Amino acid sequence: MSPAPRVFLVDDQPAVLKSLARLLTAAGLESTCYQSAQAFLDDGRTDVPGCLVLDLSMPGMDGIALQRALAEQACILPVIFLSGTGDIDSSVRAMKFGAADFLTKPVDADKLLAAVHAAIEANARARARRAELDGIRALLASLTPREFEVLQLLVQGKLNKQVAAELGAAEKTVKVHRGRIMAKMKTRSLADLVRMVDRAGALRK
Amino acid sequence: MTPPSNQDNPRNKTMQASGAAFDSAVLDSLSSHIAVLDREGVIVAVNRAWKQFALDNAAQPGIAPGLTEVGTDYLAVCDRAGGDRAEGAHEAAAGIRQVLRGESGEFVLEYACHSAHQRRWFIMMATPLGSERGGAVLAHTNITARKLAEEALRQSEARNRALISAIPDIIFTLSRAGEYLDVHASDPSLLFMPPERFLHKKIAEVMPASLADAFLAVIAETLRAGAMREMRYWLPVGSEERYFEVRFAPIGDDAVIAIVRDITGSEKERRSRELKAAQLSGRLESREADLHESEQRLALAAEAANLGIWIRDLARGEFWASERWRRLFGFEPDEALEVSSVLERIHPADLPLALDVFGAPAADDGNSDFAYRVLLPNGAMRWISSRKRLECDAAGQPILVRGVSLDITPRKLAELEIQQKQREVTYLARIATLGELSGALAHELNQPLAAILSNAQAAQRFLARDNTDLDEVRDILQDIVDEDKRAGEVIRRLRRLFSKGEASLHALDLNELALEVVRILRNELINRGVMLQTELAPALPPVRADRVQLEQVIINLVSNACDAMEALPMPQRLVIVRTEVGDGNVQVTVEDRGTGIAPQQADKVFVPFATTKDHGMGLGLSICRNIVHAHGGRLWFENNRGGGASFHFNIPAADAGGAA
Repeated sequence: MSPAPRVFLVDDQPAVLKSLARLLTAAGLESTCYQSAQAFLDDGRTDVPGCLVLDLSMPGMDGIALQRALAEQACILPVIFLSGTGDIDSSVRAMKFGAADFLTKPVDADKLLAAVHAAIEANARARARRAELDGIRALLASLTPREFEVLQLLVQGKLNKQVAAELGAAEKTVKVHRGRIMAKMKTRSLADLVRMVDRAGALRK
Repeated sequence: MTPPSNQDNPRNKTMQASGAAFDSAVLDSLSSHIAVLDREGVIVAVNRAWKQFALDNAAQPGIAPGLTEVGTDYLAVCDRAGGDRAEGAHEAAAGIRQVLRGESGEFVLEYACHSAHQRRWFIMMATPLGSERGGAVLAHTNITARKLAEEALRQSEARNRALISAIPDIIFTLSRAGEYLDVHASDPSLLFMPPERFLHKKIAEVMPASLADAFLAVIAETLRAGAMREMRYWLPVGSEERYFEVRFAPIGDDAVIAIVRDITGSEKERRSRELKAAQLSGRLESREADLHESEQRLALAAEAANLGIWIRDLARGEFWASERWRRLFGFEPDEALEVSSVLERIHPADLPLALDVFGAPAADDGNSDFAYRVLLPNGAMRWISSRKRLECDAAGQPILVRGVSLDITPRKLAELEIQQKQREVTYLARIATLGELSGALAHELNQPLAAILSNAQAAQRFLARDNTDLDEVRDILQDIVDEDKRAGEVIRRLRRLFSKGEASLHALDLNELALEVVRILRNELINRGVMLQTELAPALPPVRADRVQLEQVIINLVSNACDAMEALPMPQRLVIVRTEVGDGNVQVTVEDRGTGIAPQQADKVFVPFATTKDHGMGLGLSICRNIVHAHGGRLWFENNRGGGASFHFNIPAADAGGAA
């Protein structure tokens, strides 16, 4: 069971952090406060379910810089920006870099909570998706190289006979491989296989 | 001779014009001593005068005694003469002989024959006796008178000649017709031609025509009046023009003597004297005119300058003021004046100063200049500037205070207006700066507002629960209050910066001021990605300054520093704010790592409206300088060796006689 989602608050103003944390608590959400972007990175909790609420302008590493740094790490935590200035430039920039949302201070509780909930859900979905992908990859990794070759041809829609001809093996052998693949991939239909392989996006030639 | 006849004629008796008796009578009547000689030279007859003379000279040696008698051989007597009469006697004998021989018709000899007590001269004339018998007539005539006269004349002439030669003049004798009869010149060089060339020439032949005419006219006048006349004329002599004075005196009826004196020198002297006198008088006049003009100008200047004069006699305790001064202060021209009446008119706020001006000074502080206000009886107010000077007696004690007062109301009003304008400009620049910072300032206000909102909404949610933790709610409310106060602080700070009020001076700690500015600019610095460090010296002495204005200066300097570093990559953008203790002052430095000040921009740095930026009016630094100067400090900059610029300003420490 994955841990409960957590909201990570990053703002250089302690008063703001405190008040936001309170609000989240009142809404039944767990939160952790950081007074600087660096402090959050140093804490290393980038693979935890939840979301980030970032102040846009902070001394040292600002919100955008943190977002970029996380992207380099392939962190999938959604980022919600809080800005003291409401200028269009910043907001556009932030959204281009893939922010989940952009809110202005002082932020109304309902708006914030709505954004947080949405982000958490998005994050959960993303996590699930990733978990699924990881699972598929693990299953694929359990295939022997020969089996992987056979799989690749099968998902192209080739019949056993054709696969055998291409690989220079007996049809019978192909059938055996097919059975083992299905078993390892824990599926009974070709369609499923195709879907899984497609999802994994790992089509090696 | 007529033969004696008609003796009985009564007429004949009384006057017989002939005969021996007649002849004798005639001879005897003559004063001359007459002797008749025969052809041998023997005296044959003598007259009474001859006899008398012989008698008179009886005691005389020489010729005289032998001449008494008829029958004397006169020639022999003469031949025998000796002594100093010898020569004369021999000459006489020789001459007589010539006459007797008929070789000459006449012999004249003048000779001296002095007696013991008088000098005598005679003239002897020998003439042939015109008869067949021959012989001669000798006549000795006493010419002593003539001789004496001649001698006197000679002496007189000699004296005259001496006089004349002593006279450095030229003396002409001229005829009525203008002919030069005689010329005498002690110094011939004074004449324009040699003296002899004048003689017997006419004036017209010698002098220029106009001069000759003038001469002739004066000569005529001299002769007419019979008195001395004079004339002056210029005449070239040699290479120069000389000036002569001629005096004419009549000699008889037809001639004049003209004494000519060269007075060129004295004429030149006279002229130069006259010229000098004219110059002096001219100069004097012009000096007088200058003085008059100068006085007029002074009066005009004093009037134009509204300058009034006053004098306070410390010894007598009297106060005098000029009419203009009285008018300046609103007094009547003839009103009785005392120092107290003057002080009554002074604006109460300026009274201590006025006491310095009009009061008895303890020591002379030189030319002190005071400005104060005066309230006139009609309610008007004037700004007056007074200067005073002490006058001391020999012992150094002040006896007089002299002063000059000037109406400086227009000037003062202009000054006040300028100060007002300057304040307005300073304010507007501040507003403009704050405007540029508005984003950052709004952001700063946002933080407490955000905190308040979130806190309040959290509290609402807590309260909506069934089991509210009231302590938590209390905490929340406290935080709300704190944040609100923080917001209020920000507002207050902003309000101060936006205020237009007059400068209010307080004792300030510049460290605290610097930190306040850092707070104000915090968000701006974040926005611009600039890091700010402070290096604040401990224990800074306080300065007397206006808080808002100095904040304006530091804000401006830091803002400029950020502008200078726009092109730098963000990690390199660094501003250092430093405070240090200076010599009697506190110095603040804002240092950046930007582009520095280029040499050709260096002297435009503080010039208003000269900016290298594409935003703003370029007024910031000139206003900062004005503010710093008004506080008695200096604002300057230098380029850092490691790149970038440092702007420094200092404010005098409060106890070192702080800001004005």
